[in-house]
Amino acid sequence: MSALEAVLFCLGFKLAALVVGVVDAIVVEGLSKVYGSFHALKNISFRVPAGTVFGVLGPNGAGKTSLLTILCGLNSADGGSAKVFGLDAGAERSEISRKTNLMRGFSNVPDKLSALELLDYYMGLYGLHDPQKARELLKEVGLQGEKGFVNEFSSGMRQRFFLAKALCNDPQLLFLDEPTVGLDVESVIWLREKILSLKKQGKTIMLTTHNLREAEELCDDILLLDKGRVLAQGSPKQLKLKVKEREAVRVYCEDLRQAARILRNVQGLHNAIVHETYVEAVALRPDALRSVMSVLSKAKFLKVQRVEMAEPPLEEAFLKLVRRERK
Amino acid sequence: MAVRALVTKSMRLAKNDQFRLFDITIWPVTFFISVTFLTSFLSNDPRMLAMVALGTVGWRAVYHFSNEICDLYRIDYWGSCIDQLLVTPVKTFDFVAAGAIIGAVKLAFVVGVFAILAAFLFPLPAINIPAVFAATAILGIFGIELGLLLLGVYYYYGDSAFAISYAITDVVAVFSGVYYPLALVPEILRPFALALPSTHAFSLMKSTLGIESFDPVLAVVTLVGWGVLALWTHNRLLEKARKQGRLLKIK
Repeated sequence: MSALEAVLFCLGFKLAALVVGVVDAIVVEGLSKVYGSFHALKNISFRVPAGTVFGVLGPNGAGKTSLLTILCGLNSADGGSAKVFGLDAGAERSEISRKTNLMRGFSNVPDKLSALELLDYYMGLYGLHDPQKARELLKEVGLQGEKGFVNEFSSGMRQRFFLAKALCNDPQLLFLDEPTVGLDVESVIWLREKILSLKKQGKTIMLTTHNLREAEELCDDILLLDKGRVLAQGSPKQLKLKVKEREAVRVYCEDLRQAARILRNVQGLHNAIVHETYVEAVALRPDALRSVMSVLSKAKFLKVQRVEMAEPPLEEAFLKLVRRERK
Repeated sequence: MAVRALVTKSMRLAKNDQFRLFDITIWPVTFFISVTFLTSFLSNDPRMLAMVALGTVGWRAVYHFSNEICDLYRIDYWGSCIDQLLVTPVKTFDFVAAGAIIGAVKLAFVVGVFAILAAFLFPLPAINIPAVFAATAILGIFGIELGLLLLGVYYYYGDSAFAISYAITDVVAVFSGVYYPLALVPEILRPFALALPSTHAFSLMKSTLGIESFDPVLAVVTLVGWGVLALWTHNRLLEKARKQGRLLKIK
């Protein structure tokens, strides 16, 4: 907790602290979870600032579900602490559950209940009985007037229902566990837009996914897990840079050899290599692009068509980090 | 409010899926008619008929109270959505209270049906209603205790425990002397029978027919003892289930 947060909390200005955006929705410190001889989580620590989309990525068995279930209060930790809005995930499960909700991509529903009946049920479990709000939520996800049983819905419609269910208690924090798994493209796009719109409303979202493009598109911060350990944490851009540790400058022009020769003399650039249609050089400094543009503007004879910064896809960063760690 | 939500869900499920009503119509009625007809055939003593009829009523109390508590959990488990239920603020108390309400309603309905059937089908001796009511209350509370205990077993063992839960209630029925005098239970097994509150509740029912004697102290002691055992077992298994990550073992 920063000094400002501490002062605001001490003064009881929790709301003010939330407004200025300095409160962490989740604080995990030294968290461990062991199942028999299997270490699902090994001393992991991270923070999730309120109002952000936080991605948890990792291969199968990385510890994503263990982490999620501890934060939801479904399982208890064996070491360290996990706090959600300052509440202990183990001891204050009930209070946390009122401020959070969960949507899973592979969950199901009880048989023989309509969307309105089922949503009313879930709202009731939070102590809410408001059929009008239930109808509004169903309308928001495009399920107004659906009379059939939810267990007979298509997977896309079912995920829409689960989003309504996840919003039924107006949670401050949403746990989304692979929410787009098995959905068609249209539903995926719809759900991603919804997630971004929820973020705009100030909700914090913790997203676990195998879809790296999705994480790249949606997440402000990403935690990479493998075998229960944190491999890396940062924004998608930071993670990519962590692997390549720098971006590349690509210059498309007519005289590629001459361009390579020029680029090799630019300060902050390294290893200019001629490719089939462009010259690529590694940018060692953030202002390298400016230097390149300045040099190229003077070398008109190169007939430059375009200059671009190339960054590796998140998949590449993810794989490299996992492989590097496993070595 | 969670209690209301659980009760409402159960009612809606019964409305949308009429097969669920078999639990309070076809199955208990056919069983009631079968055992009372068999007893009438084997004995001319109306007290025997009354013992079996009251035994059927009493066992429905244990069954409905324990089963409804478990069913509120089982339905969501079988629906592969127990995670959605357990992330809400729902507590064990909610399952127990809602299960008890649904169980009481179902029991009242079934007893009503039995009473109508009995009035038409055979002559019963005059029954001490307050004593039967007290015995049914003991059985209802014991049913709640069994339900609480089984919930703990469900949390820890998951779906493999569902069959065990039915077996436990059947075994308890055998030892409780539901349809026969306690004297028929082998002497070596009688201490176990006496440790069950249900045995004393059925003894109370039978005492109104002059078949058996009732020990109120043992009834209260065993009822309290089972309550403590059920609560302790439930809490211990829930804690272990959370610790070992068993709450979310969903296919």
